Amino acid sequence: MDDHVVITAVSSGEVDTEDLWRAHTAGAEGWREVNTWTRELPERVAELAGRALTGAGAPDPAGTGCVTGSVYGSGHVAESIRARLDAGARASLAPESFLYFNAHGVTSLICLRHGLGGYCATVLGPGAGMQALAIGQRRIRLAGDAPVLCGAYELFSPAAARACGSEPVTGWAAFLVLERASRARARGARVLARTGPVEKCPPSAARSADVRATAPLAELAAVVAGDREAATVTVAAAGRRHGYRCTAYKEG
Amino acid sequence: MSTQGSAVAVTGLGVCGPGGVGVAALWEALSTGRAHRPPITAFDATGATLGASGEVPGPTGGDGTWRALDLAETAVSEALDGLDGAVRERVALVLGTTDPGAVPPRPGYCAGELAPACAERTGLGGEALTIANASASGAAAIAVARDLVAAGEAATAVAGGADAVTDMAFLGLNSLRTLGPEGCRPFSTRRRGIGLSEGAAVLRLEPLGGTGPGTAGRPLAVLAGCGMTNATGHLAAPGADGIELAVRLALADAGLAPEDIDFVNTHGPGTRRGDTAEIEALRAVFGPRLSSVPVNSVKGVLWHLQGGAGAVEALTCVLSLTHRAVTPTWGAEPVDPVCDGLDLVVEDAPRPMPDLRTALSVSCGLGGMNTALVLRRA
Repeated sequence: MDDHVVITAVSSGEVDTEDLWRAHTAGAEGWREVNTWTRELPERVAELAGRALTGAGAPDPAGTGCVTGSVYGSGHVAESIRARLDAGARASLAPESFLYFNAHGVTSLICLRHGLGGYCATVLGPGAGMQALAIGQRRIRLAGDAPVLCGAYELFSPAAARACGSEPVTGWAAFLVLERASRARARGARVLARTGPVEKCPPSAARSADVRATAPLAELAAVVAGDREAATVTVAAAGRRHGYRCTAYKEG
Repeated sequence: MSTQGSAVAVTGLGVCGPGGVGVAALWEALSTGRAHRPPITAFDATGATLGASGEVPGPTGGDGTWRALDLAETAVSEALDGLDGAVRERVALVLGTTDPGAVPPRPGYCAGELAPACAERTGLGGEALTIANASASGAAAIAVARDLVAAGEAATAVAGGADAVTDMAFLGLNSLRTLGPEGCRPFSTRRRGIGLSEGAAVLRLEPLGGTGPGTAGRPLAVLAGCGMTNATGHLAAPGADGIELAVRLALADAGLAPEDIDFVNTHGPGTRRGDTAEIEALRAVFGPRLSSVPVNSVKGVLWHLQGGAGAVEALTCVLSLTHRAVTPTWGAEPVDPVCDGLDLVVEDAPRPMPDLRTALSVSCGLGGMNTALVLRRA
């Protein structure tokens, strides 16, 4: 039996946050629009997740897991609540926005929209995209019957980007469908790449100009889904304590 | 698929919360129903449904720059007691939280840095993961850490959750009409919502029968199985089906059947929807036998520790297994008729259970997150 963890589908794309930050900047006049975008942006992340699941041949959702990572999660919701409380506008707090106060709100929405009923976790912090990949791989190795939708999303506010040592960057989401190779082949899924383990390394060896959790997964997605014939791709990201790297071996 | 080979030993515990600092203080609070839940002074709670929150009664560790981190450091330090610096270099830390960190964000104080920052403070050199699975974060962190140890990627892992009470969470939940005027009254006809508490709780996990630093003696308990699923029909409402699935996954993971479970520690938040969905799920799993399985919730005394809740409840199960006793569900009376036929523990003292061998702990979170942990006697 081929026990390797393979990638059977990917999706990656921009989640345009410009209107959200513009509404934030408008102060009280923008709060209603902030509420709208707080609900809408997770839907766009979930839509991208759905593209990966469709690309994998829509594996049985009931058993499919979902592990996501994000450096900042939905910290923008906390920023919005903070602004309203500081302005003495407690009555303007939007209950529906509080559903996304915790980073898991986006993961929950992905599960809800696509009926995913398997293992589920949200990882937060520097290196979270690679940590999510490691958790997904580990889950498949330990109990590998079910695929895991593994991904990252990033909705950095301008303030958060600066706090993380970055210039303001646009939102992004990237997803990989991970499966045990034998299982994927048995259900007739196309295998895009085999993944090596996520290895720890010094943070300095994994530092990238793009600090978003999505960066390494988006790079993986671009290579394994692209026309380039590169046989392997190694991606890396720096956490606060450790760096992480992973090599994927593209299949013909 | 069962992963019975994934069971790990629980070799240490650490906790702080409204019951006090340390495991002994927690057991005393759970046994007597006494906890520190003073009026809120840290922010203006005027006009909110509830004006109090659970606080640690006394000093904690830390430097005061990040309350959730100070609480985490306090609990982690207790769980590491006896481990020297060389050993700590190999210990992984997995912490669940709902804490937003510094808002507006400041370098080094973003929410996701809770676990690595705590690892730095306590001298831990292994993997450091921050898990954000809403109110099930602490239990989910334990499940993630279990996998790290079972996969051989960490010789020892400390896992659990930590949260402070922030005005953002408190008033946000108030806007969601989730707070109750009397705090948590699990399974009571008088339940109206939850009360929030600060606190942290962690378990130290090591390979079963291994040679880890904490396994020289007898482990405190065995973490036999974990089940996690995010399944609901609406983000704001828990689903009985999802809770049932998490419990069934945990039982399968532990290689146990429902009839093997001796005690259920519920999420039991004291919300009408939450309590009802959980009872419905337990009835589906256990059938008529549920009437002979003692059930409790610790939220009646501790209130809701948010990201720390699932961890303190797992820790409670370990204490029940070691004390051979189940603590009461304070604040449950008068019990809602929806609980008819349940063996809800409502006495005013721990119920002795000399034959207690296995415990199930259920944790749920906003968005439909459900985690179930199965613990058994070592």
